[in-house]
Amino acid sequence: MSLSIVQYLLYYTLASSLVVPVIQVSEKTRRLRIHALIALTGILSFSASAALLYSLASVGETEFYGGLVVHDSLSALILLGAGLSGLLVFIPSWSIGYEWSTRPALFSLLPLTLFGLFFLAGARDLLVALASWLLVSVISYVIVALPDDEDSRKASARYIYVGTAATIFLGAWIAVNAVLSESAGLAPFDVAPPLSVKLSALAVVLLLTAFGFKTGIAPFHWWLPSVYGRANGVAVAIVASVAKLGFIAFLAKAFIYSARGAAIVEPGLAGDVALILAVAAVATMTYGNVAAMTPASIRAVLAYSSVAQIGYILAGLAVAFYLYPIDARFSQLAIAGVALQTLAYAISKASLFSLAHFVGDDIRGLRALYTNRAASVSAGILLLSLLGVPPLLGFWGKLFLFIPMAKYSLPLLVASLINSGASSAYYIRLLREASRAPEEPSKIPREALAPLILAGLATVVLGLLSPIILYTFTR
Amino acid sequence: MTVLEYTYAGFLPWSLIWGAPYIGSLVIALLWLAGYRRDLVYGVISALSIAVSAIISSIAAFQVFSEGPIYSLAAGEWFPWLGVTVGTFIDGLGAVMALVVGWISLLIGIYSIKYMEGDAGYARYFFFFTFFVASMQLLVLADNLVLLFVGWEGTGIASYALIGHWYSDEEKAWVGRPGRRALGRQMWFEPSHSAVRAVLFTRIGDLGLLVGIAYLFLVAGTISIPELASRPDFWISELAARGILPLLLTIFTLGALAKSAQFPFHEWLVTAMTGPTPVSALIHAATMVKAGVYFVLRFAPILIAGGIALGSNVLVVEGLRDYFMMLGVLGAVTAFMLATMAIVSDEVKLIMAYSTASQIGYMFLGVAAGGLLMQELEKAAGGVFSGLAHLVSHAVFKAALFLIAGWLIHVAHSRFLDPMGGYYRYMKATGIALWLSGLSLAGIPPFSGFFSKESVLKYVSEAHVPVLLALGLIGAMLTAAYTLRLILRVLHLKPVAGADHGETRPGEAPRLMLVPYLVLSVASLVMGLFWGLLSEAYSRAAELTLSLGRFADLAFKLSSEALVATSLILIGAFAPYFVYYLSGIDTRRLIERGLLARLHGFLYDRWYINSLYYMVFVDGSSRIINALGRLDTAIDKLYHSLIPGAVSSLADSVRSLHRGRTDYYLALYLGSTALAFLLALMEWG
Repeated sequence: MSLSIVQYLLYYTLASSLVVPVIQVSEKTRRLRIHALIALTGILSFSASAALLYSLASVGETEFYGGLVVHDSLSALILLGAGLSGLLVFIPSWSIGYEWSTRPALFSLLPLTLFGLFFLAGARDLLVALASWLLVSVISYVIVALPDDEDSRKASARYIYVGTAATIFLGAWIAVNAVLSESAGLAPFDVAPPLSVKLSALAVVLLLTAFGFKTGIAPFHWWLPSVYGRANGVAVAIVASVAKLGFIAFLAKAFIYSARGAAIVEPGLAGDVALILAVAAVATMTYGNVAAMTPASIRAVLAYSSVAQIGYILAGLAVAFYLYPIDARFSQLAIAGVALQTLAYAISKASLFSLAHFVGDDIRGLRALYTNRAASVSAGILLLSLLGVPPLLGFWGKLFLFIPMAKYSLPLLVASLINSGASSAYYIRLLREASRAPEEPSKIPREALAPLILAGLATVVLGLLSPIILYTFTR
Repeated sequence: MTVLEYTYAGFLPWSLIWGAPYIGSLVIALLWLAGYRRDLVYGVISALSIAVSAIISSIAAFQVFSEGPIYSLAAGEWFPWLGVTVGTFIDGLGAVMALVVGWISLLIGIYSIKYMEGDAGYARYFFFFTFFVASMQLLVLADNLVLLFVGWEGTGIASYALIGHWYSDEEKAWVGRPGRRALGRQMWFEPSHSAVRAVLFTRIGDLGLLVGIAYLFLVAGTISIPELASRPDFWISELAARGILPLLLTIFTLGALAKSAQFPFHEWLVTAMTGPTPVSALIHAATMVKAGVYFVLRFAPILIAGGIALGSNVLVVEGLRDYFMMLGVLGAVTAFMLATMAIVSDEVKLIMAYSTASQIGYMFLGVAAGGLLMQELEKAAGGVFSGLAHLVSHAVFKAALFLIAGWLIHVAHSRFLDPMGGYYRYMKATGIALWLSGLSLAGIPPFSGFFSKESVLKYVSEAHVPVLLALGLIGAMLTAAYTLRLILRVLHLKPVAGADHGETRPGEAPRLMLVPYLVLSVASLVMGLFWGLLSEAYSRAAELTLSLGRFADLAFKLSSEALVATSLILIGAFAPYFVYYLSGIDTRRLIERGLLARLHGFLYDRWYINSLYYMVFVDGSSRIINALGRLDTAIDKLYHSLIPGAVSSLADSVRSLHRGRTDYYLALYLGSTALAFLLALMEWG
């Protein structure tokens, strides 16, 4: 019964997306309002679906469509985060809708992204993964181009270039994976060595390459600062904090399944793969943190900090992957860390990228927050959460990543912690600007402040609820 | 090893020691967000909530001293998987710390109500002030490492906000002489710059603490402090067997070293003086900088107990000795180095800051001496608790000195010593307070600072590490010298530069400000006069402290070491009197040229350590960032010029093949087919 409700709510999300473009009302304001309200019901419906799914998945894996899609605590929590981020970015989208000629597409694509994420995050079948990858990717390209100005078109074109290359690598990974598992499903490798060792290694590289492009893992991240740093802030908020979550969820799941097989195929392989992930993680977080130190553009700082955040998440995956055959309990703790870190990242970036759209590109634009204490405090909470200050959500994510990391590799832990410490420099810089009086009187519209305050509240509440969330991963 | 018995109690009321100020800060935040405008209300809420904390901590101390330690636990566990509880653990050490934090914070809070009057950020100030006190109390009473870390980070955030309180960066809030440079790097700092420095320096240490917590959890399987204390031999031997005992303990202690501004992390404290003076008194003298000392006081007894239990394990004994030696060396170097900086400084608060880091060095030195004496448990207890005794003495007299400095700076309209002078004529009560607290800092008998410093030096002497003792003794002499120099110049000598007192003559501070520092100054004398009783109380606290459970002998005994130390202190104290009153030397001309000028510059510019940090870390990072920027530009060009250009050229080349002639197409087709066959033959033929 509960499974059916999850699906019905999901279908409603799809329906809301499809209905928007066909509703024609002559009066512009009224048409916009109707489109927005339908999209809102779609997002709410998805959020309810994700919440119900999380309650089901926290007891055990939940199958849909005969096992083609399977959700666990990790994917369900990430979907819940996507729903929450969807709501946060919807608020500024409402006012943006008045400015963009492409608004019906915006309100149609927002729920459609969430619909696609359900399949991408839970895909157990490789063809479902490919289809949902394509759906979410194409929507992302379009969303970046929606403002229809030169910067957005350029950013979108760049995104498409790289995305196409990533899709080719995904296809190759699917092919190799199918050979290894002798099925079209995501399953542990079970072909006898030595061929399987080479193919497993190739599969890992292809997976990392494909999803590295999408999520911004070094050295495949080059497009990201350019797109996040130049495209419209609200469009980037949708791509970075909603669409990206599906890719993170699938990447995590694929590695966890590979881990099961890697230990069978060749015990040493698990160590090698974890090492590759760990090196990529350190490179990613270091690049992101160092590059975020000096830009004068808010979006550029947020873009580089997004790269750094993915680095921490990837480090968690390396730990989960390595520890899976050795100590499943600690592996689960790392997975909980990945989920909470992703959630903290999504909630913060959804509101901060949207804010960047309204305050202008210069970092001093954040001073406009000074006039609204609640917003200024909320921005502070979000930045401190990303920095990993207790008891906020981001702290628990980092703590659950770092504890099992000590069991895997002390150098990785030290590198991650040094990076986390170094990130203080630019988060504090943003925080300082957010608490300074502006040189000229300036005001931020409510549609930018509301997501900030809601995100701040969510970060505190989810931080305090982290014990319950951890419980759903470890019981 | 002594197993300490403790009684379990409900979550309330003991957790209100940290809970009440948290509630106070929440109320202040809500009123502030609601736009409530009566400033005084914020100050009163803050003081009341801290008063509740101080009163309950007093009741708790009474109960601990009469019935034994209290373990107050919330129902259920916060993180059952990690065994993280929300609990308040009050043993002898915790009780003393909570008392010090509660009552000194209350006095500074009362002082702040008047001092911050009319400040634009009054509500913000009291929010962070109260939040800080709550976090500090949580830190000292947390029953597990995660909760301790929550308090630890809370103090860090509040410290950042309070150091940068005057974020408009007006010159009167700066620290350092504007325009002065050392090795080409600026030596003056604005509040917002100082706040960022404080975060960065302490963050490095905090991360070490996190590594330590994670690793201890993996090895010991718990992060509960009483549980870690119940079986230290298990995890210490495990760390020693892995060959990382001293390394991991050092990483674990990085947070403490950074928080307590010990070399090489001392730079943040020096420039943190840009905050309002009561903040300097509370955070950068009496409490937060003591968090690191508290941390080593908490874990040193556990390590000592583990070392005794594993006395036959050479790896453990050597590892622990290396660790305590490292603590001792850093403490002694800081005590000496920062005292040399204080002797030439010409800013009142800067002298206090140098002095704070230097005195904390003595606390570390005491704890380290205890650790080095671990084979004799009673001496070890004495060494460790000499660190606590000096912490308490210092908290009292240094809070008083900072509060007095706040009034002096207000009167002189300057943070520099030069325009100050002859103030004793105008402010007798403040002058007496400065003499009382200053003599305690100088280590003159019978003030509390004398006895606590003597205790530290006594145990350092017993540890038989001559270098540590020598640095400690020279530091003590320099302390007496710079303190007396300050007192004489401010109270009795004429100002060097033109004084600007505005329209009013210098006078006493308003009562709300005067009373707190008078109380603290008199307390530093009374504590010394009743040192016999106080040392017994410390001994009892040591008996009631986790893993220690032993009498700590802090009673003063006349010995040759004590006579040497006292003589050096008296020589140091006499030196400024000799220079200013008897010799007729013009110190300003003395440092104009030659070797003394260079030495003065070296000390005034803080041994060039600040400049070296900027050259290595800041400039180095800038070069990396610039290189990354160039790489980004290159990538951008790749996307926008090279790829489109290459694709375009490729397209043109391919199109040039399409000439519309069938014979040409036929030739290409046949050629391609031949190539395919050739490749197939090469592979499978």
